[in-house]
Amino acid sequence: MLTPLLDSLIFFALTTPAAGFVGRKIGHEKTAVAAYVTSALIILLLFTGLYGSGFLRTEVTLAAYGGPSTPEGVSVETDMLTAFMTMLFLGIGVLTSVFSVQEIGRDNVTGYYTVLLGMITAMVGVVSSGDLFTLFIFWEAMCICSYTLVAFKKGKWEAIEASYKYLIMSSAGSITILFGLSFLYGLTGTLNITYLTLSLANAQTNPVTYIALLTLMVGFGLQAGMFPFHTWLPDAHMAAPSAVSAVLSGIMVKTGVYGLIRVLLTVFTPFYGSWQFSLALFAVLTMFVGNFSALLQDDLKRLLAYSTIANTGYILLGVAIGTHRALAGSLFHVFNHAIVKAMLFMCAGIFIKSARTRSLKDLAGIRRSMPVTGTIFIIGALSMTGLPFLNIFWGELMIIQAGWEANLGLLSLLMVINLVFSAAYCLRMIQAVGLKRQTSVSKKAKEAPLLTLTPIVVLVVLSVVVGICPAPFQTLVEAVAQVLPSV
Amino acid sequence: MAPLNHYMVCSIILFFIGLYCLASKKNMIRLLMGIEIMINAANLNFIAFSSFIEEGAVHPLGHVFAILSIAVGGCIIAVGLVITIYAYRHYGTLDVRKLRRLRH
Amino acid sequence: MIVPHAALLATILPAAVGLVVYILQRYIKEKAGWICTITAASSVALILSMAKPVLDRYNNGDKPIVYIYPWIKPININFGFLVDVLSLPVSLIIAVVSTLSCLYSIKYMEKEQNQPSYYANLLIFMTGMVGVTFSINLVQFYLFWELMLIPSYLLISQWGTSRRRLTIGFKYFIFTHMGALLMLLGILSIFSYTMTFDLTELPLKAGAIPSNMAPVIFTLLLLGFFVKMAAFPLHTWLPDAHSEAPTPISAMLSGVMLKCGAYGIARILLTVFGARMIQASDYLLVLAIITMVYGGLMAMAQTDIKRLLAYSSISQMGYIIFGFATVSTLGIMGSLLHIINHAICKALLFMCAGSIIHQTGKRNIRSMSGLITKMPVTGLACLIGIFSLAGAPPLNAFWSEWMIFSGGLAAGKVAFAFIGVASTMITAGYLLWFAWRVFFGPVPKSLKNVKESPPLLLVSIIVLASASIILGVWPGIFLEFITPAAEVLSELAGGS
Repeated sequence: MLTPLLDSLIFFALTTPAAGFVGRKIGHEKTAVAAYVTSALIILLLFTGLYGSGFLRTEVTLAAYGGPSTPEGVSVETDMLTAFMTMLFLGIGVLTSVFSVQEIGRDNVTGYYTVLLGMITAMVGVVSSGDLFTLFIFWEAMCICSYTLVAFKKGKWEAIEASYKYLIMSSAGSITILFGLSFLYGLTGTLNITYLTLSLANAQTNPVTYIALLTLMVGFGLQAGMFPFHTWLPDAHMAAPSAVSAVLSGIMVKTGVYGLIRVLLTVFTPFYGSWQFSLALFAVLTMFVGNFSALLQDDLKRLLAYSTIANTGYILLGVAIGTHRALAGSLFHVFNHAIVKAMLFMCAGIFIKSARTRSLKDLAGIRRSMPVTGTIFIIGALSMTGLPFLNIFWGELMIIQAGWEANLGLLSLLMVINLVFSAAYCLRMIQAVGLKRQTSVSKKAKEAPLLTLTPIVVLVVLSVVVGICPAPFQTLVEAVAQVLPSV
Repeated sequence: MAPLNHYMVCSIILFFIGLYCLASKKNMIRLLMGIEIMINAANLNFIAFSSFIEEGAVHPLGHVFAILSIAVGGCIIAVGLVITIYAYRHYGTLDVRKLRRLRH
Repeated sequence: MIVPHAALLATILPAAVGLVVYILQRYIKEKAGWICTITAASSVALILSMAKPVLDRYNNGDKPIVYIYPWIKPININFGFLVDVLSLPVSLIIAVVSTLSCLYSIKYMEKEQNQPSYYANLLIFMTGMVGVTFSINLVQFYLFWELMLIPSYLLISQWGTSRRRLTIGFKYFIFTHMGALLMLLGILSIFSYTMTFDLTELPLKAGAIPSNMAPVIFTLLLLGFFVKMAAFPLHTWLPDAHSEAPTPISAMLSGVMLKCGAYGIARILLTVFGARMIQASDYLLVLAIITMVYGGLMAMAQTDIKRLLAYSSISQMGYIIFGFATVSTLGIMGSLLHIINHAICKALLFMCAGSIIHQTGKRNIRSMSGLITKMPVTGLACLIGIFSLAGAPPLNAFWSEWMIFSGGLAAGKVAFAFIGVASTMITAGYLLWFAWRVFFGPVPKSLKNVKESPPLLLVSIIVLASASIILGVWPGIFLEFITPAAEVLSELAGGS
């Protein structure tokens, strides 16, 4: 038995085909499956809320399931960070599931929803694992689901191609993680995070430790879209159905970040001096590469994907700075970026579905034919720019501030320079969608139905609410960051 | 029994052979085989370490990990082969260089 | 008698009404202009209602009016409004110019598309500027600073007049955003030493900033303000943006938005970094003079009526920098007064230019001549603005220019003051030449049928022109606030 939450998620994922079967009998397969998945996720989200607030109230930071935690035991343990990430995953999952109803065509709806739910389950599993091998198993489950989802439009060449590229790179990455784990196991005889931390703190400096550190950083960094292992990301995000892109960019990339935070800040805390510089370097390069590449794109979804890479850079910079405030800032940025990027990808999906093109040139002026989606997209892009009274600003503020406080003003400066570049590509999107003259393609576009608009409206409201009163959310991320040892 | 270092060197070499295979081979099936080699490098590591962690006894955890990771590796290869089949149907070739249309 | 929450209302009301107008645009349509003018006017009234109490409090030696609303506990930021002798006159002039621009737009923009959304942007722009002046802490200052960027960008790139409007808007946004981010970096580093964002506490805690970091932070903040003010090497966005925007917006951009940068110098740099200001005084004076001369010379070379005025704004920003850079009571007083006077004159000139463009459909100075016979009211008002900016007594800008250069003398910077006075010749030169070419001489055939602008356009122009005369005759109206403000500032800065 794992946690009740994970058990029910697995249960729902495995029984989705049954819902599909019933749906086919009554002739509303799509609606039935979507309603089933959505309601399951909503129920679980409410439960997570309760159990997250339990952590807040009683200040219990860790709960182990499936018996007491032992060095040999393979366990599932949860703490504030788990609750935080789970809430994010389930929240975005619910909205994606609603959004997918229009996005997915008639073929194989049940399969799509099963795999989507399976992927969310696996992500929740990744964040609630108490030992690194359980984490790896869930990790692979998540990756396999995502390969399938990227290749979901299997008739299209780009889906196949992107999925294959993604599969090769991402499996190489996860096997690098496995390879690193084998060294950690050899050093300490356990993979349980708690015991690993204890034994590594006492261990002598051994070159093998550094091999393990390096391989784990590369492996998790690959999933997070860290330079120079980011090349799969734009392809995969571009080729996948837009709802899947929202999940990939909004939350799946964040599991890579989660892995880095867990491993570097819990297991490898004593080695802080040795990984801080390289992580900061990777983070800065990631930002620059992401922002520069985003500037050059004409394909809307590719642009958004590169922007995800840049934002991973900001998050990793916060982790590299490593103070309490920097971590809180990183986690806040994880939260905000998930909201905004999911929103932008969904809006892009609506545009693309209606105008049948991904080119920014052809999408010009589409706000006039789709006022609601267009306005929401512009608000999202403005938030991405880091403008005030919108959510992303606050996370960035905390990271930059933490850089100053830790006497790493140079990193803050580099991040600020990057924010200017990110403003530039966000402006390009705003110009294209909102201000340019309409093209023949964008004139024909029609506003999406209400059901599809609901998720993006929810997200935009959330984005503005967090932007105007960030206090409760800031308290939350500060509490979450408290769980992790800071440097 | 051979000292631990030999096993480690062997597994690291295997890992790099796998990486080399990923970097240089053009055939889609061979790339998957490269991944399989990398998985085996990790497995070899687990098994080797499990014999050395405790003197004169075998640590069972390593074996559990190895067996599970073989299963996971199987899953990856299965999905990889499915995608390869679709690619073959679409492009009529297994040459990975033909899948370069995304690079623009 | 103060309306409760007057500062909050004065700041937020325009934005709130703007959002409502945007959402209900389908039902409002034509009425949007009037609704927004009334809203902006009520904001002016709210600010005016605080004027007397602020002055009384200052004279009784009480603390300024402060409104605090709890906002973000974890990092100890409150949403607050600081209304004192410094912020009140600046915010008042911002609100007045915005209101008049709004009124002016009703006629000027009547043929444009998407009017409700235009007015919504205008009001949010106004909120941003008023918010900057009333902000009590630096984070809030930055938030409003960026808030005025979004609507002004949209106004330029959506209602811009030429084909290049998107490129120009892009340039404007990136320049200003970059400046703002540098300023943010400075603000955050102030916090990391003093542990406070509060503008009322900061001057007391300024000692906590280590002396090796202070010049860096000073430079970062100064860059932020200079980008907004378009000081010499950072000015390139301004002529494009100001000539591109629709005329009422140009009046706001040139008239009051630039002043937010000047206000930032007064509010933050003079109070917290007074010693640095004195150290940097000579460099800043050189920069000020370069800005004046460069702006003036470039203005002479322009043939586009709005570009000429835009370059003239750059030159005038040089005057304001000059006054602050002397760090003397008289100089600071002059600069603060010039913020107000230049706002009035430049808004007036832009609106006159707009009136000419509206009636003739031309922007090129070469194709105009003798317009004073055809458009007497516009012509007369424009001449008032021109003479005022050129420093002719008894018009308003004479007083402030006089104070600025006397401040230079008072601070012992005699050489700089002389060069400064000499460079006002350039200002007088291009302005008078502009007046000569546009308003006098024979009327060309193409302009035979030009008529005076409709009364609705002329209302704002007349109001501003009479304000220019009234403030010229009684400069004491604003000096009552500005003199104490300048005294406090120069005392904090430790200047002469």
